[in-house]
Amino acid sequence: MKIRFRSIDGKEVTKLEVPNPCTLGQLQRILLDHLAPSSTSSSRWSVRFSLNRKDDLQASSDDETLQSLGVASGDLLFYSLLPGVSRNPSPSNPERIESGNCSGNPVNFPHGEAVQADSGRSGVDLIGREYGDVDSAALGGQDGGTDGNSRLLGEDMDLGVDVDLDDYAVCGKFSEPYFLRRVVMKELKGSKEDVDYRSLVLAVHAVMLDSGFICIDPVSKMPVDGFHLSEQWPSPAFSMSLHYSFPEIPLGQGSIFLRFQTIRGFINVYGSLDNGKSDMPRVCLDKSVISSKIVAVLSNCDYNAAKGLFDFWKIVKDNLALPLSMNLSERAGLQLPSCFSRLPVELKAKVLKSLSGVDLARVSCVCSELHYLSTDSDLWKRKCIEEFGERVVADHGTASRAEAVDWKRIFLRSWKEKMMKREVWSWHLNSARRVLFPFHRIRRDQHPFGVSSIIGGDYDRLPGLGIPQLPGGGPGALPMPRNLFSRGVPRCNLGGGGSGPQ
Amino acid sequence: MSSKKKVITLRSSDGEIFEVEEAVALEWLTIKPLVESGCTDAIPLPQVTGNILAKVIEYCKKHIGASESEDRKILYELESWDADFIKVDQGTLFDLIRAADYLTIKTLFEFTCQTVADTIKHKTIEEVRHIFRESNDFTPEEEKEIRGKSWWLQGL
Repeated sequence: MKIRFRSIDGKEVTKLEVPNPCTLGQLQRILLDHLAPSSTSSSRWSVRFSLNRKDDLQASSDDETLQSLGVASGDLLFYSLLPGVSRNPSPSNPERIESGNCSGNPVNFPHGEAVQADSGRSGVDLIGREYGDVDSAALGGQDGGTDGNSRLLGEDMDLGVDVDLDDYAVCGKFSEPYFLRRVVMKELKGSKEDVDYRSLVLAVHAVMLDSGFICIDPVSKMPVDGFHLSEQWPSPAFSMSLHYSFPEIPLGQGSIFLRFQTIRGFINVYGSLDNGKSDMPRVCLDKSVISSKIVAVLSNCDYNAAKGLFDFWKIVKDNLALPLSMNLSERAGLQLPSCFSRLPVELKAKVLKSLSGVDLARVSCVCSELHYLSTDSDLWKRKCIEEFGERVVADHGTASRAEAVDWKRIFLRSWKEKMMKREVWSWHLNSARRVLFPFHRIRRDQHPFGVSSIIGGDYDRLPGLGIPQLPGGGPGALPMPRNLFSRGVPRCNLGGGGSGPQ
Repeated sequence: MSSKKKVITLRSSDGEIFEVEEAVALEWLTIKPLVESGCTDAIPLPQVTGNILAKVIEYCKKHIGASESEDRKILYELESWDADFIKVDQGTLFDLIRAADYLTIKTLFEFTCQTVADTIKHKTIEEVRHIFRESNDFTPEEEKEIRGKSWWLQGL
């Protein structure tokens, strides 16, 4: 069969005869031989083929034929050449061959020298980005861009949908405690001494900032950017205070403070209005337990630690930040936070349980608090069961891994599989239609003049009329041979001997 | 039978006094032990205001006995009654959630949570922000990261 080739950024089309059936490997060899007949270096180059310039053609196995990839005789394939991994230049300087450019020369296949990529087109971007992955099997099982092209989605299905979700960075970690990362990492740098105490104070501070407070200087009442205790941390033996206000409140018009008091292994945190007139919300926190969790979460996102930290965040938010923010708003005459924000975190989490998985994912993009709330893996486990049934749990929730299953990831994976199946189905339907009705598009306008399709007999002379009813088939009626068939079996002997069923 | 007639007195946070049948109060798990112990004083409910408590009592009175009914007609009527009952502003809705949680009334809690879930069903991120009056507090980098992760939500 004949295939037409065109460089991804060139205009010249080359027509080549390829055997039928043909695999991608053979196709690559044929093209390379054509482009540089004398070269022995064809093994140093790999070719990427694409039907739409964007998505690469990929075979799930070496002997998969072009037909099974949806390539038919006469099709136009875009190609791009990439240097093989054996002579990999530095990745920071992605180079590749410009094969066949606009001038019309099919190729100047250089021996050893690659031409610097000079174009910023999407095809080139794709290649540049994936450059690091290119190896001799570049045409094999690599997973390219899967979205957009149903052909490629179909191939992913054949591969058993072993898509690496990291490629999409759907959810790399169990939880993303932004509220913490923003603050703690900056402060804990290098200090080994009293990390427990500091990390806990910082974590509480981070929750306060997360709740909309700003840190202020206790004397000048001026807002301080971030947290300026790095050099002047007081000894844990003394109680220390942190002062906060809201950005909306004018200077000195109201603030709150938190006092941290160490009692053996625990830290008591008291919150109060600056005039001391409200009842003091208080939490008692276990220093070493929480600190170890903070460190674990920030270093490697350990699941159990993340869960513990989640509980910590809820406790501080509900018992300190929320009541203090209500008190302060009331005192400064600010509009109270919205009804939903005023809901304790614990209850918000319960409300989230009523959402469907997709709604939950959407809600997680609303604000950082809801984002953090919706990272709860148990919550996602529920959603998995609701959406995909108990089977998902049986597949993933094996006893040995039960602790470390990231259910949000599983939800997304299952969701993608479901969507892909749907896509593949529609693709199969479309391709089936293409095969069965190859001229469908051309003939789609079957009644260009709005005339009934019955041709012949009397109907094309009287197009507006339906089939006339001829009562009793009177003597004057015209013979209607077509009706013989519409009545059922034609009365003819088909060699059955004229006998009925025995 | 006389115990059914027994009336429990409740006092809301703003000092309003309510009287409910014991059968209703027994559905509220938070105060159930008090009711069972035969407390005759007004039970203080410092976290629930009078107007919300009235709503809660109205709901529980309607639902007691009816929820378990097999009769389709009764259930249908109850459903439409619920739909009318929950036509309240957002503040009241969240107060009801809070009260239901505080008093541990499972049916009301589930119903109100489901109502919130239905409100934001199939809504875009911006619409949800508007409904909850939440502001976007992500830093630009976080926003970018999150947008990248939620590409699959587009068009759903």
